[in-house]
Amino acid sequence: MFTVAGIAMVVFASIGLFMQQISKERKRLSAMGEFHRLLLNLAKRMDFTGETLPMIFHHIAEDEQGEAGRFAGELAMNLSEKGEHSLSVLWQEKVSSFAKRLFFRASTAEILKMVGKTLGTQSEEEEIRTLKHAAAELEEEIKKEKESAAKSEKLLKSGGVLLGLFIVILFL
Amino acid sequence: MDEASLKKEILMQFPLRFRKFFDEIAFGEIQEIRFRASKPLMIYSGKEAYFVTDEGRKTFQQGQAKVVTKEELAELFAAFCDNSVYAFRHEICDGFLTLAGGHRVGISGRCVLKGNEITHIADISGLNLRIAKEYIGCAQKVLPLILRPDKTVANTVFIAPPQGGKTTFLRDLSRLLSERFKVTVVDERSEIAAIKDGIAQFCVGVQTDVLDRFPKAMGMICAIRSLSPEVLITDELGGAEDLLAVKSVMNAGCRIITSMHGDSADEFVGEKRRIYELFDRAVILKRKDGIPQVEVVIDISNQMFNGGK
Repeated sequence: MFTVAGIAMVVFASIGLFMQQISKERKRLSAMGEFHRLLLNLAKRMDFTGETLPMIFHHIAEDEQGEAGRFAGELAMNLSEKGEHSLSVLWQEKVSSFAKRLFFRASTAEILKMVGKTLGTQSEEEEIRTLKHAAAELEEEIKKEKESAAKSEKLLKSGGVLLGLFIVILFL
Repeated sequence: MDEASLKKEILMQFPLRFRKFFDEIAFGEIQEIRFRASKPLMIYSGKEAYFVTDEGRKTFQQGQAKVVTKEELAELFAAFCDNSVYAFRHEICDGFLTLAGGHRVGISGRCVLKGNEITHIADISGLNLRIAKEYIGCAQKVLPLILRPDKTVANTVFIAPPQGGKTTFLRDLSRLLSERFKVTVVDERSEIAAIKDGIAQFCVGVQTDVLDRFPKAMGMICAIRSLSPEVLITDELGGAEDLLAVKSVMNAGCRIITSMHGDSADEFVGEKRRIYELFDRAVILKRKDGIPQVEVVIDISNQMFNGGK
């Protein structure tokens, strides 16, 4: 009887952990999509409006409600304060804190950090090229992430079926 | 604007860590602040040039001076560009940026050419911040000397060497004349009105329209076609296209007030001479104790000298 209860607890805990993992993956995937759009949006606004980055961040923060919008809003606020740090340092600090909170993988955070190294210091063509390149790399990461999420969901479904069978056997 | 406000306005454009270098510097007499890569930070007032220490004190000893690093220069340049170098491409290609308050940053570095066109200035090696000062009322005394007996404005050219105060006078004249006339300022280098985000940073008058960063000749023609000015003000004429544009403006019955580089009109040759001869009056300016003053007013057609002092 104790053995059965122990096995049941382990199985339930595993399923719980799995569910948590999937929820993290969904959050990460959704945020990655938002940051992908942010990079393309930056490039588009640079190209069409010629506005300065603080202005662009401000407009994006107004238009976007999610994590990327919050990221842009915080950058716009910090830049308007003309504080101790340059845009490059600010961008990288923000990416680090958002990456931690949104469970980004190291490779994703690195792609975003690379953007900050040159952002605002190059000609328009170079800026747009850098942003589009980073967006393409992020798209690849999103593809991989989607594949991994699909595998996890499959695993969860299989685990669910097994658990169902186990419960049925228990009742029998 | 008082000295404290001027200092605050200028230092607001600097990244925070640069502000301490100017803690004990008086901004009242400063004309230029020079940042050169791997060279001491220098300040030029009307009377002297000196260095600044790391603690923000004035010194004449080069060994005690704060040396500007290449990284600091890049950071400063990015801050002057509002962290958006791409957005100031045209200004950078023209070799300067205009900051809030009308202050001007001259840029030196490596020129990137595409054909004959400058497409960028890379490897910034120096920045020269020229502090803009507005002397409201400086043209008050000269105003009666450039009016005709019928109270219309005489076509007038202001002549002075660089930093002689030509733009300062043109700006104040714009303000004064706009009380009575419709004025258009063709401001090719954003020096007269110093437009920033669509707003003139200097007082150029209530009846004044500004064509900001228009090429001079094109701007003069556009103004005549679309803004019907009674007086047109522009800066630093000298080219062949300027000569044609000035003739068009005069033929349209509009008065023109402008400036030319030089110590006196005697040295003008070619197009510059021909432009000069189209005008009625010439005002020669000289800086005394850092303040631009009228040295003499010449009636060009009669070559009679009127005391401008």
